[in-house]
Amino acid sequence: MRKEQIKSVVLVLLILNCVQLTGQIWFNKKLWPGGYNFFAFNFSSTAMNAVKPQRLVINGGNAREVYYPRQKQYNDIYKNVTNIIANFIDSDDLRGTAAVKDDWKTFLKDKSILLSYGHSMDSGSFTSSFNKAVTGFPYVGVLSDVLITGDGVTNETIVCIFNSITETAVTYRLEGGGESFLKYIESATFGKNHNKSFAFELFWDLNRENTSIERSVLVDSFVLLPMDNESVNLITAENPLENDFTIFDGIVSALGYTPSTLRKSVSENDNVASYVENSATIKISPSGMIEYSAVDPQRGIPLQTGKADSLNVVNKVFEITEGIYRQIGIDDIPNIYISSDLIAQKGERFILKMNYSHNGKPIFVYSKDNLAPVDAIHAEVEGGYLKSFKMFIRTFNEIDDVATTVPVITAFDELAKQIGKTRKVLIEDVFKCYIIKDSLAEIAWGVKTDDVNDNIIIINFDD
Amino acid sequence: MKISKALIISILIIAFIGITASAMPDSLLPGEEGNTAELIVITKPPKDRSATFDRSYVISGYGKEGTLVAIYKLAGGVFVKTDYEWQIGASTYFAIPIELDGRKNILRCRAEDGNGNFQHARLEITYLGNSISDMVKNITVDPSNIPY
Repeated sequence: MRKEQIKSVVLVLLILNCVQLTGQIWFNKKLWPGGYNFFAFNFSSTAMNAVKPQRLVINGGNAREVYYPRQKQYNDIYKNVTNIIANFIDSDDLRGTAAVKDDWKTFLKDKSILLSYGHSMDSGSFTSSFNKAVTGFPYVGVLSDVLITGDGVTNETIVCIFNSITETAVTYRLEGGGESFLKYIESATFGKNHNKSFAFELFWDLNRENTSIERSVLVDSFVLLPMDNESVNLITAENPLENDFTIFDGIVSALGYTPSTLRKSVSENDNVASYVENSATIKISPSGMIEYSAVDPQRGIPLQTGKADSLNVVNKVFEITEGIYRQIGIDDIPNIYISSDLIAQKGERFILKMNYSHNGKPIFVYSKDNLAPVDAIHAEVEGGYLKSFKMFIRTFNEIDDVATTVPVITAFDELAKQIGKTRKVLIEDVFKCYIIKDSLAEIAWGVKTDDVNDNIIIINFDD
Repeated sequence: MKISKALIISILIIAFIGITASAMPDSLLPGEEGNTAELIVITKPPKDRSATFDRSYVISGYGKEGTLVAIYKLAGGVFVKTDYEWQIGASTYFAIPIELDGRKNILRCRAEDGNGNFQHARLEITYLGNSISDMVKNITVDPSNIPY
């Protein structure tokens, strides 16, 4: 009898709960708090750094500073802009205004903070990087940069989204906060210098008529040119796999396989360990190269357990990467940034490339048998499965030795010599980087042009 | 023997003429014009007269490879050569960072190739900043301490 009473009480409670939830739906009250994302990722700190902008450019009108992930100023500024962007993503009643290229130039010159991601991504990846759902987000499309500024007259906060592929921008105005944001920028750039110029500020992007001077190297309007010579600490690279075969089984485990169930063999020539099963092969080289390859995409490592977006893939690939480092006994994982676009293509092949960086400078690591640098991580995903995964594992240490970079124009001169006078290239980006051919790094300039598809031309003066 | 001596002397004279031809003069007269306008294009400042709030300024543009670009400042009625120089390389770009002195900076940019061609451009850059803004330069502020 007592059991029946409990059953009745539970039933009544369930009915009441049902009525209450139905009422919420009828009266349009959301069942979960604003911005709640069912598929929120639990990013590790390494993954979180990778999905953040590769640089923050704070423009104070007469001063400009650039900050990179892991820098204190970067973290402080990012914390502030995160709140604004979170509000922006949640504001589902906003209307964007198309901005032309000249508007974007004006924003970059005025008091503003630019979040430069260094790659293009879809709006879903952008909202996910702030742990927000894309539902209701007013911007649909691809973006590469986000700029925040304020309107001192209307006190509105202005968010401008830029697509570097189409060179188009959309501007949104949020109520309030504009004046205080401008004051924040003034304070953060107080006493700073203006020694970095966008190419359009030097008017290098404009063609003058009536001149016989031919330029073989052209510079895109939005390339940020450092005008100062920087002294940087050099780094050394270590290969944690060298001569340590005992950890190879651990790496196989990090990829989700049980080593004892795979057929293992070691080649006599180069000591490459191969783990083979019916659906996949794992090769681990003492040189630091780890290669996973599935015979068929459907038999690869499943990645898409939640929402199918590219940031989900990034998160899962990072889980594997961090697992490998942990198996080797390395907790302090090098900084890794995303070097390929994050644009979801339903059911199609998706390539994810990631590379190492140190203090905001990309590290290009050469393997012994490669003339060109190899990606730190190269993952191929198809239909939600990891079809192949390559990782060139390294750790890095900063040393006391210091090197000074040559001026950026000297690097352009060298590039012009390399390409010759018969063709023209457009520089889309230029940055300082480390190159590692042995164990000690050299400082160099990396130049991305429109001429080579996603490849970086390294300008190194030590060769 | 005499012929070889004469030859050596001739070579030395030619070399000396070559060196002196490519060396920039220490000063220029205000009315002195160049003999060409084809060596460089100054893109910044975009006009002959410009203004800035920053004491550090970059004079930049592009020009023919091998051209030497130098900045002269007006002092005592003549333009005196400064240390701000740039040899244009294969990319054709040049960028000369300079420090502005007073409020009005009357400058002359001289470009010269090794073939006796030289180009002059008059630049007037007005510094709109003030001594307070100069004083605060290089003072570091921790953004985390800024109330926002």
